[in-house]
Amino acid sequence: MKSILLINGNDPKALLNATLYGADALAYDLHESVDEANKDAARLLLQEALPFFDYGGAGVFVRINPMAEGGADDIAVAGKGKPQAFILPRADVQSLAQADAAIAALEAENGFAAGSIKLLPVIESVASVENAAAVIAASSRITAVIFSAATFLQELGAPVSADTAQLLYARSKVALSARAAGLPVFDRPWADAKDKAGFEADARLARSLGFTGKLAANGGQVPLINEIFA
Amino acid sequence: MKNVIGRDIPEYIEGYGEVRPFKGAYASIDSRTRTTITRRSVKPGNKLEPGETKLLASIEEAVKKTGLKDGMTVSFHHHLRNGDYVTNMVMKVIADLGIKDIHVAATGIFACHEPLVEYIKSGVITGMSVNYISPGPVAKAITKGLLPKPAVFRSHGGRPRAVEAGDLHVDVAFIAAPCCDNYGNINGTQGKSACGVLSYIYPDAQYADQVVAVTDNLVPYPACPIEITQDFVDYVVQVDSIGDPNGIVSGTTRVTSDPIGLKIAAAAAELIDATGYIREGMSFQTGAGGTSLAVAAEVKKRMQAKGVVGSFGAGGITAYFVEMLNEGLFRALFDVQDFDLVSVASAGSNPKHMAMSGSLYGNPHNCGPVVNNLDIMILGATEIDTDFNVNVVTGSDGTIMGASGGHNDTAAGSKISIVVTNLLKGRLCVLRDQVTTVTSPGETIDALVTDRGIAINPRRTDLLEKLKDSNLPIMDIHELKAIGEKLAGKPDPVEYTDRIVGVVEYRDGTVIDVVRQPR
Amino acid sequence: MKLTKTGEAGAADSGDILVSVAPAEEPGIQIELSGKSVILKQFGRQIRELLQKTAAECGVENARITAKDNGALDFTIKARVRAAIQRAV
Repeated sequence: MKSILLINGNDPKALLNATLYGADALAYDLHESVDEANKDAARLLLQEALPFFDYGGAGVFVRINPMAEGGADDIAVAGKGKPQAFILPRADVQSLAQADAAIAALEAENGFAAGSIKLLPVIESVASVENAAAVIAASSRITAVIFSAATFLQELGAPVSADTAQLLYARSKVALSARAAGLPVFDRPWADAKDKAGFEADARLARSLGFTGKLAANGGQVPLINEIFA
Repeated sequence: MKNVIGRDIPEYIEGYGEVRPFKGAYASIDSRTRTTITRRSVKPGNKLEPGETKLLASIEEAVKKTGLKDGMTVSFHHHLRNGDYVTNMVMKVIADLGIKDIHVAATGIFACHEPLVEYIKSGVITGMSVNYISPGPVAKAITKGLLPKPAVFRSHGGRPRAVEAGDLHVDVAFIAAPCCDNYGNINGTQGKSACGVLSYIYPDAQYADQVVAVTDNLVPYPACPIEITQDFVDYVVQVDSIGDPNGIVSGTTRVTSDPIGLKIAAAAAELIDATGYIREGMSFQTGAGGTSLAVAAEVKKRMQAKGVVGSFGAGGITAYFVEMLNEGLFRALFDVQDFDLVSVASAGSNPKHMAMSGSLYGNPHNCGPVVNNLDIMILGATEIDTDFNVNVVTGSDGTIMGASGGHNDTAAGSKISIVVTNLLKGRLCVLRDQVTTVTSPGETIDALVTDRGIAINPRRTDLLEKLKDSNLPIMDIHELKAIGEKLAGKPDPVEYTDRIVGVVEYRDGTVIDVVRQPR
Repeated sequence: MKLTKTGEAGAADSGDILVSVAPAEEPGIQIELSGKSVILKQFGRQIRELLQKTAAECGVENARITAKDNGALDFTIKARVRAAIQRAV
């Protein structure tokens, strides 16, 4: 698995076309793509959408909201569609334990095999970057790790810039911690769809740091991710 | 009666006449007699007196001079596309003079021709024939059955065939002329309303009883270069403007940026390559849509990688094809219309960029149209069925939204014709058990490339053999239809009345299908 | 299930459906469906049936459902009705 494509979880057309870009896995997003007033509708939309489509061999994930911001409802409602994994933003040891428990409840309630639904932490807070190894060990459901930059820079009070040097330590730390635990690790999404050169350079750098794949912010980025991380 | 592809068509259609049933795409290629016409001689000057002046004061004077009367056929071209003023101006004069029961033989109809709907309602226009029509007010009026006689839909090659055979007799052709002199020499590439070549109207210049040039750019004699020569033109009228430049050409035509369109294009190019058609001397045509142009971009990459030079690019020309010509990827272009400013400029200046008449383009009843020399054709479709029949005339609810254009000409002539489309358009699956209206018969369509899979016409065992080790997602067309229907559901049948509002002629003049009025 | 107010979910965007569910005095589920005629002619019956069935599955007995379709597939129609009902309770 190299590419994980983020899809707006409340956009029916995006859901319909999600499988067409050749991504190894799809991450249906309830977090940043969906405004607060529509989280409830989006959860139901994913619950209906997940069993509706034929995904072939692609992974089907749901990116939930942080546990303090409705993540448990996301798991309980969207989870009825039986995704293969949940992606937990701003993950730390405590919130991963909460998510693990919520998933266990979901599995029990719906007759899904215990432990069958996996968990992918997004390591993006300063504390979690520094304690990456402990975060990755927080749940036995964790089968892969994701790094994201925005929260990290925000917490540090560092200006957001195109200079990738400011992320070097954090990326290396997360990549190495995941690889040491024997897990695949995915680099941040590149939001600017038009900046193809910036995206490609960022992906090549991630590859050189030991990442095994990258999130795609749009379908057009998938082929290059698959190529660079091949 | 059912024709060979199982479409139910009457033997006689009121307002159209006897039906020659479609017998197969290649069934009627035999010798034909061309019609004879009587043309006026323009009075020459003698040593003491000047000759006849062709320049008239107004369209009204031209209509009166031609003796245009009830029941006649007038023709127009659509090279000014959605910017055309001439059709509306001429029809207004005809209506104001109280003339009725006119057949409008326009090569194309656009949204800008909305005023014609009033003339249809008032009985000025009682019949129409087109090779292209965009979804809009006139198409809606025809669907609603406002026209007393069924509209006739022909192809770009079929119309010149009909004109030359006398099936479509034009009493007066009104030719919008971006550049014209006072003795009727015309070109389309110069002036404030420049639109590029005027290919579709050449047959009318040759076979109409009378020809009137309408220009907003009267130049000193002789206009140069000349596309339509003075020996075919009876009268010249000067007006303030023949069209709105914004509607005539788009500033730019460009390759799609939609990743799904690009994915379809890449698959189509790989199919072309895998079947051996990327080769020295190859010829290639696409439509001007974003996905079609994306196929051109992908094909170009493969031509460059292989170092091959194509013989020609053809059809409606865009900046992209001009660029390929100028980069040496084609030795020449055959042009029937120009979609953007770059192609208009090229058509008027580059000798390798050649105009071709509609007859030279696609008429099956001559010594061979250019489509016979075409290798690769990229096509669109509103619907396609499991027999590979394609519809570009109606929506799946029977609403008229297009006409063949060059579709069935190029599909029949090319060595490989590929339909590229999204499998789902909204909730509608493009693939059906039966298309609503057949425009191009399945025996001329070789492949369907969609975002959710590729189907090859089983008649093309040669292609299937070449593709047997391919990684392309090739499947049976029924399987592809099942994928679409699983997502969209199976549509309920649409109900139709018995009223025939349109007759779809195949390029050889046989009737391949009819359009019935939806209930 | 008793509805207390009007609930709306979905959007007018392509591929979506805007569903509004309101309590009704008269028994049964009244449906007012609008959209592109090319879709309604071929799928109108099926969309109405799905709206009806989904509302019934949610335990709604009396309601007025107004739906503006823009090419939504079944999974979207079901999800939007359910969300609208949830918001109308």
